[in-house]
Amino acid sequence: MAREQFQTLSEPMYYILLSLVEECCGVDIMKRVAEISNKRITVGPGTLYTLLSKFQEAGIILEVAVIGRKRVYVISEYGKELLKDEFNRLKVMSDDGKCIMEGL
Amino acid sequence: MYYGGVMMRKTLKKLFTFNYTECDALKEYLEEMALEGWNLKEINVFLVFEKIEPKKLIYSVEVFDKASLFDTQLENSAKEYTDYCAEAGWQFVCNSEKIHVFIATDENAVPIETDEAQKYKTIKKSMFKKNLFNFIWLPITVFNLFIQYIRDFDYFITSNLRIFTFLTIAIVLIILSIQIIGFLIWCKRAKQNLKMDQKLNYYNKQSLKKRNTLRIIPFCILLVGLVCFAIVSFFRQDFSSGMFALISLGLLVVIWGVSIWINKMKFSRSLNILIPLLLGIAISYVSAFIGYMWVIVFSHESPKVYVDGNTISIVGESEIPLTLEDVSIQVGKYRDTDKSIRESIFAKSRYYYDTTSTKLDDVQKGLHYTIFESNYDFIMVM
Repeated sequence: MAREQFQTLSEPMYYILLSLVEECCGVDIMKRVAEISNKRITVGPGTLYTLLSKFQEAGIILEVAVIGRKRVYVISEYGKELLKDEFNRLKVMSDDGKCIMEGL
Repeated sequence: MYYGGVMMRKTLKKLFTFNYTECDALKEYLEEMALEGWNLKEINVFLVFEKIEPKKLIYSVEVFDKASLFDTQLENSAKEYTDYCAEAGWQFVCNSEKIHVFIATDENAVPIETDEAQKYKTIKKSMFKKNLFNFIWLPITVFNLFIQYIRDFDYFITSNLRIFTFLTIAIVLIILSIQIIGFLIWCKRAKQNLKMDQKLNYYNKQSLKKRNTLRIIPFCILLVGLVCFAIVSFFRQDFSSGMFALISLGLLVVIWGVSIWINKMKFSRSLNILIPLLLGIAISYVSAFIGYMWVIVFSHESPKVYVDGNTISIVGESEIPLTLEDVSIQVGKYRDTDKSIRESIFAKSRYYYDTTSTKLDDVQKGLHYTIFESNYDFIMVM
């Protein structure tokens, strides 16, 4: 079921998973997403919180440490698989468009 | 209130009701209040504002589904949630149930929810949970009303108490139904908006003010109705109805007071559930006890027993329009005569009986009849 729900990742999902390739504290993910995407993508704190819970439930990310009230997460193997699939999908999309778009 | 004088009002309480679907409307309203110099301090039964310099503030009103309906303080998950928001430039102000209010510390703060579809899901889920009780309670009550009140129409229409409670429950039911239907319509529209990638409508302050008035008016009417009912009942010397109204009023005051108290004390979630539960049980026991005592004290005086020749008569009421003698029924050894009168603003029914038997506990022969009067034709038809 999780597979289906996360078959294609939305933009915020994609960037959140990208930022969790390295261990990262939940609250710092917002900054990292902004960094990675050159401030193109912003994730609201409420949206982030809900997404992290969903990811964790689906086993896409793992909680590695709790410091006070801060939780540190990292992407799981399963999550990496999903992320790679999405990356490849985007790459194929980009490649497919390449020849046509370059001719314009 | 003296403006600029020594006596400045420091806090302001507003009775305000709102649904989770009206979060944007509440935000707009809070921003308007801030411009008038009132900053939200807390939400209990009221919205409580404190006096500030009038200024433009940016609020965000969010529904956090992991919070319980019984939360008056932040539980762990909510603390974590507010930490995330603080990091993004939203300072937590206060919470009530699943509603969390924030103020932007940074003008350009990213909105707390950036995913419309997800926000819609959260709010729908929360609304459903909040109204779950109503979804169950509504059909049961409608069924109950029908069985208890409408089926025995004669009994119903001749009792002021029954008519009054019926009206009360009917008004509450209508309000609840309208709310539920309104919510379902909102869901349908929201889904359409999501499909077309449009922003969802969480209402605006004008519509919230109107809806708020519409929600409060029926309860005011009920309250005034209850007071009037108590006064009228005592005036007509219908003490049991009067006591019923008084006890109901007392209960409302107690419930009101307790909810304010619970909000003030900021107990943990489990205590917030436990206190009303225990109190509910205690109140049910006490009212059952009072009701029982009432029946004992005010039940009809024990009928008088006469011995007349060979006949032992139990007479609750001696004067009844039609007696055994009138219809030439032979009076046996035992005779039982009584009447009971029920009268409401719509109708009056008088029930008489005059029966007799030769042995105690034997089948009684005699008369049972009811005289039903009403000034209203439609009642007579029914």
